Amino acid sequence: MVDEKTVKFFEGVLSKTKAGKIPWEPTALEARFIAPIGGQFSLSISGWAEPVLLSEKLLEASKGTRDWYTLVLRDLHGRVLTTVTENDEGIRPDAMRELYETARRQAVHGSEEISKAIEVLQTL
Amino acid sequence: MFNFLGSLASLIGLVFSILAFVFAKRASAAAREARDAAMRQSLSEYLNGLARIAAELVAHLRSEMNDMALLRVSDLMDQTSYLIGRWAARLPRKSKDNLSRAQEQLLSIHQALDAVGDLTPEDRARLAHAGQEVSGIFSTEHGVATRAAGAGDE
Repeated sequence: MVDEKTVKFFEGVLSKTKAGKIPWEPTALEARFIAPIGGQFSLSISGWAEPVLLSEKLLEASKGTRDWYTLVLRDLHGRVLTTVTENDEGIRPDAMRELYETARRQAVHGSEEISKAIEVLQTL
Repeated sequence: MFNFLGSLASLIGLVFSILAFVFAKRASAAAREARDAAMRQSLSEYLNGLARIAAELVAHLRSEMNDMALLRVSDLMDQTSYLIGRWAARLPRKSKDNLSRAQEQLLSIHQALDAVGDLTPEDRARLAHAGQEVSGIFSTEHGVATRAAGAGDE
């Protein structure tokens, strides 16, 4: 269970990520992305293998039994301040998946790469 | 006559007090400047050490020497925590963001190296990329700190 402040924090991360204001970047782990914010904190979001393939149904079926996505807020000293998963009360699983997917796309510059792929397809 | 001498002595006393105050202020500013310069120099040297360890980490990752790489990762994580604890108040926001990024990358490298099972070529490529980024961060921050130390000396 998370408190109201944590839900607000999650919504803030989601909206700023969608607005492209958080500099997500890839890490040594395929399904983990990180972003420093404001010289004071860092964010990390992790998903299990092949989270892209997770369906709404599977997310719903596994609700409460397994955390597919985890958002962690750390301070400058590396201390974990809060951890949010899609199973936390007040967190919509689809919103958590949207956050992960948006962060992942931004980190790997997915949108630019897809545009390049479209250009390549047009030359075939 | 005595009245005049008394006034003159008071005036001279006041002048000396003002001079003493001015010299004390200057000495205090000089001491503070010397302390700041020593801190900047110390930060620069510390970051130089971290940049060297990070370069070793990259070499170990490339040579697939995972145990050695893990040792370097642990070293870097500990020393970055120390650096932040000691110098956080003096670091600019961008440097703090860079150090946060380095810490998170180091954590991910540690987890990747610690994971059960063989690493795939893709895992190795991600590890090398993350190691290179950590190395780049410490080299950049070393450059920034050295420039700040140099600017302070001038």
